[in-house]
Amino acid sequence: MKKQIVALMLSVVMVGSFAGCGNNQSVVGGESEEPSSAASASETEKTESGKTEISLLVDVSRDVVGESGYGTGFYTALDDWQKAHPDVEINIEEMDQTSYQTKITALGSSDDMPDLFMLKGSWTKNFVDNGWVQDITEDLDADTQWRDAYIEGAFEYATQDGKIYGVPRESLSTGLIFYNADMWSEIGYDEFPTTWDELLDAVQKFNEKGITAFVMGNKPNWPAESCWLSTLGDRFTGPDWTSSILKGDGAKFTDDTFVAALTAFKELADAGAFNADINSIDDQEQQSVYFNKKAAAVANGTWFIPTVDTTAPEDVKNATKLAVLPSVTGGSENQNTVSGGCVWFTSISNKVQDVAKRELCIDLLKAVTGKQVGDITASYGGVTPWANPEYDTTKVPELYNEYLKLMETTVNVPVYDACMDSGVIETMNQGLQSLLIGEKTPEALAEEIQLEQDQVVME
Amino acid sequence: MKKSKKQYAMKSDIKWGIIICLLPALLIYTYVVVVPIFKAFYLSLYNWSGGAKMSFVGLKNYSILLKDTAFWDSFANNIWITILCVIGQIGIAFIFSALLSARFMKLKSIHRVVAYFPSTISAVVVGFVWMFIFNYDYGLINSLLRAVGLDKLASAWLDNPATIILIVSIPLIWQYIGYYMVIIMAAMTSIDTSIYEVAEIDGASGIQRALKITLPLIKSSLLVATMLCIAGNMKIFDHIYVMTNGGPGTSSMVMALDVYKTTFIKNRFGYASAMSIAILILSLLLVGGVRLLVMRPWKKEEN
Repeated sequence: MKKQIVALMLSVVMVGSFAGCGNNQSVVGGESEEPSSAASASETEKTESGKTEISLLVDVSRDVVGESGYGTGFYTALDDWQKAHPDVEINIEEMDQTSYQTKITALGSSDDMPDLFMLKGSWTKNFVDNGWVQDITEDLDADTQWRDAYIEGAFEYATQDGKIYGVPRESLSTGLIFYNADMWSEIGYDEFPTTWDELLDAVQKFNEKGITAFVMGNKPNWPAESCWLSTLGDRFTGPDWTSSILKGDGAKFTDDTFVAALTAFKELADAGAFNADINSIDDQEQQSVYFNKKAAAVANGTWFIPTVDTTAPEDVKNATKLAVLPSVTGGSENQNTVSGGCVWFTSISNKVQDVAKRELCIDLLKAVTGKQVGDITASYGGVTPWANPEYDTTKVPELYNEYLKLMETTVNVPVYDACMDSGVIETMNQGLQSLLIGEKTPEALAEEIQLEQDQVVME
Repeated sequence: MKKSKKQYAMKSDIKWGIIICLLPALLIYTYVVVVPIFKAFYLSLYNWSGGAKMSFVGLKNYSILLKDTAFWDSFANNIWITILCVIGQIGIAFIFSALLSARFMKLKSIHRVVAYFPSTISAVVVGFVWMFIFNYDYGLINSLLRAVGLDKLASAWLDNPATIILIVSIPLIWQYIGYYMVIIMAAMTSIDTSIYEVAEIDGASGIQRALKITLPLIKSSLLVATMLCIAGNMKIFDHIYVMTNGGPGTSSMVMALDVYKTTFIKNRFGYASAMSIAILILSLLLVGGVRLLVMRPWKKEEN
């Protein structure tokens, strides 16, 4: 029965059409969300040919091989493992991240989890509570070489009550400023502004020249929060506030410090720092605006480093430099921070209980999170949680080396959408869209988010 | 006596034949429509995040829903879109149908095909196409405006919360004009042409004929079209999902999209089920209410 539940719910949405006349003119895109073929794989332990079957669902497309460091590493490791295990049939399904998010939840609720899948830090609690993901603490403890090869704190968001549920795949910074140094020096800034006032001044100067200071493609609604607010919030609240929110012991979104962060963000938008179509273009389209020099800077994550290297026009590529958001007055102690950390993990489904199959899955998990992947990721300029990757430092994108240098002095602070409840995040993300176009006050938004947070704490 | 018995037997055979023929359809309908509604109601009584853990909360989800302003805002958006679509889709479809049944019109079948064509395209494709048309930098509308020197009028169409409902309704209206045109034209062709001839002899103009003869005579078809339009707009999802994703903020959020987000992003399956049931009830009330208003059964009694 459970299998149908998702289909049922979507059908109910469609049911309006049956009300008057029994004519089903279906326009709801429900069909595509239903659990499909990949799911059935996990039910049969052996295929007809006697091979063990392992199903994978990933949000990384094979198309990115040769472009993205992690993608290349993952598929290289997967293919190598497949060659070494001809008796195993790997059944992999790839999709983009937004669809992945829907699909994995649908599969979970219909009890059809794939054997190996990608876990986002903010899902850990829900997935663990629902018994969708397997505790792998013992396996990690049994192979300390594997466990200890990652940077400090890499497992944090995949840990629940001291148990580990996933192996980190990438380490990221989400709130980096990529700026076109040529354009900034034209308005008199040889370096990226280091104080908030300077930043507002620069925005004004860009406006006078008719150039957008920062382009943001916030239609998918996570960039404003992930690439801006996670860092900007910390400028005002400090990391203690965030951890208190996560523990649910006192801190509130209505606290003055968080409201101050929202206010600063709104003021920046009011000053005309962003593009007019901020909420109707997406994070892909924002790239082309920056590459066409219609905008002087863009806040983006480390995943953008290889993109700049491979797709930006030569002059933009050479002029692009990295910075973190400027410091604010009256904020928290450490102003040299950027949101980041290990956000995505590779996990094993709780349904994998067959001893032999489980062993294979753990072995595959080791392969796709191991040294090989770390090395390849780094060689493309991707940031890996593998502590000491070996790669040719002269061949990586220049920006990557600049990033590593930047991170020598910069501290990672939590990315909101990697650790907070997904309901809270959705409310925050939607609200930020309104905040940035002046439709909502910081105070009202703070209250809305807190209301959602109260429900989380209640549960 | 003998004869009537035979007749009776035959009638009963036909009856069974009908039942057997209907049964498969009925079973499928029950399985994909009726059962899910009950299942959704059952789920709406639980606090459930999709996994093994379910806790019974009674009608609490519904009491939260009554106070959930976000849901009622999206309901209001549905209503606005419905009003715009009833006026736009059926109104324009009526005008087109009237024109297409006029004698002076040439190439009628081409017009019909062209008008119906958008209805055959996937809603997602329509959403994408219009997203490009509305785009600020390189969209068709803004390019045209800039080309004729009206730069000031060029704006970020999908970014203004004040007009967003109107903007997202345009593709919806555009897509379904043809669909309602087919219904209305079918009704129009069933009108006896002698009525028009008589009216023409009496000197009624084209507009008079459309309003005073055609309109009253196709009333029941218009009612069906209106019902379809309301029911269709209560469950709109894809166009808006593609064009704005409910944004900016929640200003173009509609109920189905809200349910989708509550389910798959917020992982609140139980609450989302309660929302689905609410959509069902609201749609039924709305369709029933409009039916009642148009049919006016109390008026008939007087007659």
